[in-house]
Order: sequence, then structure tokens, then C-alpha cells
Amino acid sequence: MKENNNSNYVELVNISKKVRDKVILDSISLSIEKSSLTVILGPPGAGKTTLLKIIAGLIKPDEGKVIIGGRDVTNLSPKERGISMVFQSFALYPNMKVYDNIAHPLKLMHLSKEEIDKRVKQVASFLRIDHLLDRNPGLLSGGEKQRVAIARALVKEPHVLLMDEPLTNLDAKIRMEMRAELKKMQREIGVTIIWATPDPQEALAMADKVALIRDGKILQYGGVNEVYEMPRNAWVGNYFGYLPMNLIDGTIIKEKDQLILQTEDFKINLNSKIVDKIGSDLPKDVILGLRPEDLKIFGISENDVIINGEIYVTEVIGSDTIVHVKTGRNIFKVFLPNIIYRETPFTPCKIGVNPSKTYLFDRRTGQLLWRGLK
Amino acid sequence: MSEVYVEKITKVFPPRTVALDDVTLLFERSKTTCILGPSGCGKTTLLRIIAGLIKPTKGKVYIDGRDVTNLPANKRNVGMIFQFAVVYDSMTVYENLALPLKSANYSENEIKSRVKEVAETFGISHLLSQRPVGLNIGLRQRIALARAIVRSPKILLLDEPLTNLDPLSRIQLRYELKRLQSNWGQTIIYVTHDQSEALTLGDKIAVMNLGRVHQYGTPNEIYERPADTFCASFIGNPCMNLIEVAVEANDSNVYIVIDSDRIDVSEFREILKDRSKVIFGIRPEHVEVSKERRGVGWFKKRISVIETLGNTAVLNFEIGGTTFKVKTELIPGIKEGEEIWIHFKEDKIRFFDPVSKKLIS
Repeated sequence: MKENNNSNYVELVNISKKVRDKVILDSISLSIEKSSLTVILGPPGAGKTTLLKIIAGLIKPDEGKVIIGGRDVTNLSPKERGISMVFQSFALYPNMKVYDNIAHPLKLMHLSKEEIDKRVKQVASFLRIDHLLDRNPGLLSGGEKQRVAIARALVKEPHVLLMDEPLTNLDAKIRMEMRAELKKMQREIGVTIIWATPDPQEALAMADKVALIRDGKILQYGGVNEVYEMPRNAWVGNYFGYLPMNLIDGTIIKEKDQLILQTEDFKINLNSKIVDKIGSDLPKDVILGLRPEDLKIFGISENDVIINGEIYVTEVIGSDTIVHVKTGRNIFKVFLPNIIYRETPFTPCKIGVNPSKTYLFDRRTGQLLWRGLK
Repeated sequence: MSEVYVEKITKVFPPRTVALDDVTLLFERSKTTCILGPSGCGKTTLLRIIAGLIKPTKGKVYIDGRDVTNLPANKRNVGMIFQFAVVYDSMTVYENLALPLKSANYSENEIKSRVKEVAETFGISHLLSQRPVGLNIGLRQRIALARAIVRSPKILLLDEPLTNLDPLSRIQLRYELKRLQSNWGQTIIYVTHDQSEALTLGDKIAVMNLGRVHQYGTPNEIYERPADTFCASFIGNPCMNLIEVAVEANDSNVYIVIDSDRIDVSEFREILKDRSKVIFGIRPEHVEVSKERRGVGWFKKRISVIETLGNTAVLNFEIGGTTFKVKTELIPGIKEGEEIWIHFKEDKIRFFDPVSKKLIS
């Protein structure tokens, strides 16, 4: 048996799963740290729920191993794994009071009445639902129901808490509030959380580490900032951000020793060092990636690359604005936090691009070639 | 295009669930009005009453001044789109779009040209000959939207059309709706629980809770001057911070007391001088933060949780017994558990009555 190691507390080794002939998970390996919050992020159908169920022991993988705390649990039943799972649909017993819903897993463990009472009250006060213990779940709001479901999962004092889109069925407002609350809870009790969601903003706000998954494959796994700053390919860059990335087709060409990125609407001079990365085989088809939150309309600086366009539509959302700017064939999204900007369509407009905040992807493979233009 | 007026609408579901309680609203011609509120606030019931799918217990519905309260749904010239896209998988997309026109006896040529136009508008022309089976929910919702407007109804009712989309499609389709609404010219009534949708799509917003309208105004009015603490806590991303605080006044100054700090709010003297308690409100984006103290009115607080959102962040503090949120640009090097200086922008402070919960102005 291996030593209990904090840096790979939950280890998935080459997990594969097929249902009939369809590949659901394709050789997934992940090492998850103890007491961290790891988000599995991907679109519907990517394999997130199947992966969580395999960790929980509800589904057996065709191949691969699940190791928790140094112990191979691949062939253990869910009960023997020290894991709790919270589902998108809450799944409370409607005919039991909140108290009994939370106490239920402890009764199955045959704990004493006093111990059960102590634990239920402790977890309820922690999640601020102590005033609801006498109620029936049917009368609770969505946020309250989800808190009860989490309390029921935590009361077993699991080592690992699996959460399958726990906020998806909640109203937008409660979803926002629960994020910080659950993150705080995780910090305080130090439980290891593996959290599946299709929502990139949720992943940005909550995760210590994020694993991007698509079609049953992990595309990238790393710290939130690391993946945000250095997406391995265009798909990851587009999916994992505050808003989807602006992706513009372009071609790198050489004009009198100067490397140039040529798009349909504009040209940008490139740093000659880029040749080391992309090779000298020119012209090369690329995709330019620009994050909406990295673009400027106000306060453009001297070093910025300028793209000319016209206003297409402005979306003011409270104190923030998303400006859609049309430049020939492309429409750029520009995110202006804490700025309210309303402007009529077709007004000429300049976008400022900070050269260090640009991404070049290979158009054929999608792989990141270069970060920063000049 | 049409104007919709609902007058003193009450709806009781037996035995005694009051879904709507005396709601009066004017939905302006060719404008988009969003009905915003949490699940169970009555917003969908109101929409169904306007559509003619259910009857109010009391009150009247007028379309262009005409009382339609007893008119069946199919006589109201209203198009409706639901949260779950209703698309027929047994027909091609073309047939789906043509269906409402066929049942209204449009000519073959007219059907062709209208379907073509609306399919282009929604970017689904390439799908016309396919069946919708297996299309993702974003595309299915587009087909449903296209079908709802193909007959150019004078009124378009939308019931959370973006709620079941994945986050990326939701942002995309929201933007397309925004872009399209100016071209349609329809009177649109749009129900949502998502305040960001309401703020960006609505010319006007009606904020509802527990069957009643709490505020009716432009997005800017509702954002800047929420009528009560419910509106303040429902709108914003995140919503307004609200703390009940003690007021202390002497001859020259007025202070509010938050935890151990006294904050000078003398410019609000007139509205605060006779009060001992008040609810203090400020939006997360109207709090400044700094690693150094930058003058009077700055105080130090410990960060409990940081939520990063790209190049901005939401800092969470424990202030006045609540989780207090501050939205700021990402400040390099700050960590959870550390202290930082914060300051409220005076002109953005709002006060609410602790009993009635209404804005004091």
C-alpha cells in the first residue's frame, strides 16, 4: 500500500468507460490534492457525471483504477469509500422532515441517538438551516433544499465530497450566493471537493484546480490561473473564461523580413521570435484569440494594437457592459467591467488590444502556439 | 403593434394559494418588458393570463384598449415561447416553421418566403431540410423562437427561453435576442429569474415577489434606486450589500456604526437625523479597496473568500453579521485571510427603512 499523500489524495489512473459501443470516458488520469476544490468543467455530455459516479463507486470503470488516500478502492462498494455525493436534483425524501433527511445516513450507520443528534445539529447550524429542521422539504426554496442535501452529504463526515452540478437547478441569484458560501465551507472544514459543472464562471470563481473535459477526454488540468492564462488549445481558451473568447481566423505571412498576422479586417506585426515556436513554414493558418475582458474601448494605451470597427450592439448589465463591435466580417465582444456604456449601432469605434494578452492557436490542430503578439 | 394593459389582476389557485395579488401593469407598444422575480413569484402565471391560457380570478386584460379577458388564446394574436423548446422531431425544421402558417391558411408562396426570412434571421437556414432530432438545445430553442415569430404576432411572450441552455449558448442567444428585438418591432413580454437577462434585454423591468409588483421602471432606475430591499437584493451581480446599522448623531455629524467602525454619513443628515436604526445598502461595485489607507472613511477588513472572474474578482468579507461582497479589478498578491482597506463611494450609498424595507429618499 502507498503512503497517504496530500498531493495525490484522489488518484484516477487511466479510467475508461464504454456504454454499448460509445466511449464515455477515454483513459482519464487525474491527481487531486487533499482539502482542495477541483472543478470538472465541460459541456453537457462530456462525461462529467459518469466520472463522478465512478469515483463514488456507483459505476464500475471498464479499465483503470480509483485510489483514495493511497488505497485502491476500485473494487470497493460506495459505502466503503468514505465519499458523499450531492446531485443536481437534490433528491430529498419528501415525506421526512429535514432533520430526518439529514439523520438518515447516520441511522444507516447505526450510530447512537445522541451522536446522531449532535452531528445533525452541528452540520445544520454550520449550513444555517437549523431553523428548518422541523419542516418538510416540499416547503423549502431551491437554495434551502440544496443546503439540506449538502448537510446530508456532510453529516457522514466524508473525506471526499462529490458535487454534480449542485447549483444548476437554482435561480441565478441564489447560484451566485451559494458559490462563496460553499467555498467558505470547504475552506473551514477542509473536505476534498470534486465539483462538476458546465458553467465556466462557476469554475473561475470557485476552483483551486480545474479539469476541462470534452468527449470523455481531459483537455487540460491545472490551477485556475494557469489554465486561464495559458489555455492549451482554442477550445479550452474559448470555453474557460468569463465570457467566450473572440476567435478570429488569420494567416501568418512574411513581408520584407517582417512577420505579419493578416486577418480579413486588420494586420498586426509580430515578434520575430515567434518563428521558434511556429516554424519557418509560412504562410501558416492560425486563429487569433482575444478575451473580451482583455479588450479596451476606453483608456487605450500607446502600446496597444488598434482594431477599427463600429458598434453593433451594447448590452448594459447593471454596472457592466458587453459591447459587440463589428469589424468587417467579425464581431468582437468587449467586456467593460464597472462601466455603463450605451451607444447607437454603427457608431465608429476603436478596440485596444494589449499585445501581451493575445493568443495564437494553430488553425489545423487548435494548439496554442504563442502567448502575446509583439 | 400592440399595447397590453393588465388591471388589478388577482389569481388564486384553490384552496388559497395567491399567485397574483392585485397586479396592474402597462406593457408599452414595441417595447420589451421583463418580468423579473424568483421561482414562485407569479411571473409565469401573469404571462399565461396575458396569453389567455388561464383566466384571472379578478381583474382584466386589455390589448390595444380592448378587453380580451374572456377571449381564447388563439384569438389574441400572441406568440409564446416556453422554457423547454417545443419542436416536433417527426417533421423537418422547414415543416416545423411552416406549421403555424399552414394552420392559418397562408398561400404556399407566402409560407416559403416567410420561413426563409425567419430562418435566416435565426441562423438556421442550413437546417431547414433536416429533422431536429439530435440537435442541441440551443438550436432547438432557435427553431422554437423562429416558429413563434413566423406569423409576426403583435405580441411575443417569452417564458425563460434561455434558462435551459448551457452557459455559452445562453450568452450567445441573449445577444442575438437583443440584436433582433429592434428589428422585430413586436411588443415583447419576457419572463426571467435572471437579473442580467432582464437588465440587458428590458426597456422596462417589473420586479415581482410573492405575487406582487415591487418596482416597475427602466433598468437604470431599478439598478440605481431600488424601491425596497427586495429589489436591492435581487438585482446586481452580485446583489447589493444590506446591513442593519445603528445611527449616531451629534450637533454637527451623523454616523452609522458597522461592527467597531463609525462611518461619517453627515451628507445624509436630513434623512437619518431622527432615526436610531437604518438599513445601509451599497453595491459590491461601489466599494473601493486598497492595500494602503487612502484617507478618511477607509477601514480595514479581513477577506474571507476570493472569487476570481477573469480580470475582476469578488472579495467576500464578514461585516455586520453578513457576507459582504466587493467587486473589484484583480489586485495582484491579495490572499484569503489577509486584511485590506475598503471605502464606500458616498454618492452610491442607499438607505432603507428597517420596518417597511422601502428606500428612504
